Amino acid sequence: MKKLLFILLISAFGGGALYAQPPGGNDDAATKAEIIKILIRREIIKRLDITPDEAQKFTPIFDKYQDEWFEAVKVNKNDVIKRTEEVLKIQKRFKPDFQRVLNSEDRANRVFKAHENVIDKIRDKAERMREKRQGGTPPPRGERRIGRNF
Amino acid sequence: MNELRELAPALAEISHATVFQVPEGYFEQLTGDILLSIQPEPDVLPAGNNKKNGFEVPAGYFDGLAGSILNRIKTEELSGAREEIAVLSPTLAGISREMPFQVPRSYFDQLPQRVLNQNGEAKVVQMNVRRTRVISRWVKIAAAACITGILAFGAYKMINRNSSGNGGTELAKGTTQEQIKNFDLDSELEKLTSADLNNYLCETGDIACNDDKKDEELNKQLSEISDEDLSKYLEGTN
Repeated sequence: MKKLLFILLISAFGGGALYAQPPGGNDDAATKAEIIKILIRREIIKRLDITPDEAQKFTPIFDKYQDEWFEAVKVNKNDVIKRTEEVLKIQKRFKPDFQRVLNSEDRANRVFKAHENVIDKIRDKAERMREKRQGGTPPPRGERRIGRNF
Repeated sequence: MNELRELAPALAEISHATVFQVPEGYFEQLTGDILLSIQPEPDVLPAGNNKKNGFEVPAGYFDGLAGSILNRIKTEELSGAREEIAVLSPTLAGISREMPFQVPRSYFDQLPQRVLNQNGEAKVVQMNVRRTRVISRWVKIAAAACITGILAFGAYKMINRNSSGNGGTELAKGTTQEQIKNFDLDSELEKLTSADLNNYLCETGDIACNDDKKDEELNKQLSEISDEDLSKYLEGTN
């Protein structure tokens, strides 16, 4: 019985220690990354004036595109050329699908452009939030570090 | 015969007479002679001494023979063992074989009566049954509390995780015209922390991925440079 109690106590403390990891661990970061992906998709739907009917078809394709894009830039984060090539390959592959569900080549191209712009916006937002947290005054938007994904 | 003479003249010259002879009636008497030769010989011992075999033993010799042999064997064994021990371990051989403990005569015969005659009863030590039961009960309660705690904690974490997952599902559902129109990325990003956005950017290898430690080091180094020098540097780069 004492052995059982000992095992239970160890399990309880061990489990508690595992769950007591600071927020921002891998699991939490992955969840937040998924939320950001959803926000990106909704912003693109809004920017491209995608109708609810189109959005039903657009959503699964864009989610798949975004997952592949995310994996490609993540894997090749230290190789700019490779990263650009992989992203280009993915865009070429998905463009016909976007064109089919959005009924326009121009709108399909705008998906990629809007995606880049939303990433820019997230970058801008992250910097503003960081500077605000550090107590500094954020510089005007024109002087901010605005660039592409790399 | 002529042919033999031609082939082996020496052989032909040999006489045909039988070289061995037996006395007359030899074979008729042979059976009787053999039977006579195998009959027992008459007693060679003297007639007056035929009941003694020539050897004598003392009276009662065989009565004590077994005991005397055994005694002799034991004596030889003991002396042999002692000699061997003396060779192997002189210290052991030097130890006396006398019993070091002694009890008074008839001690064990009187012991039961002496024990019974002692005044008072023997002390009986009882186990603390009540205390053991209390401890056992507390152990059970503690075990039950641990299991309940673990289950409750697991359920809480599961529910918490599902609720955050549901947030994502709700976001995905926002595809009505009104939801699309009212969506505001800026306010949605406000709900996340700076670290969340930074983690996402770092995952994608974005240039804006910020390492706070590196920023602190850079700020520290920049603070050591005067504003005038920094202005000159910026003018030079423009």
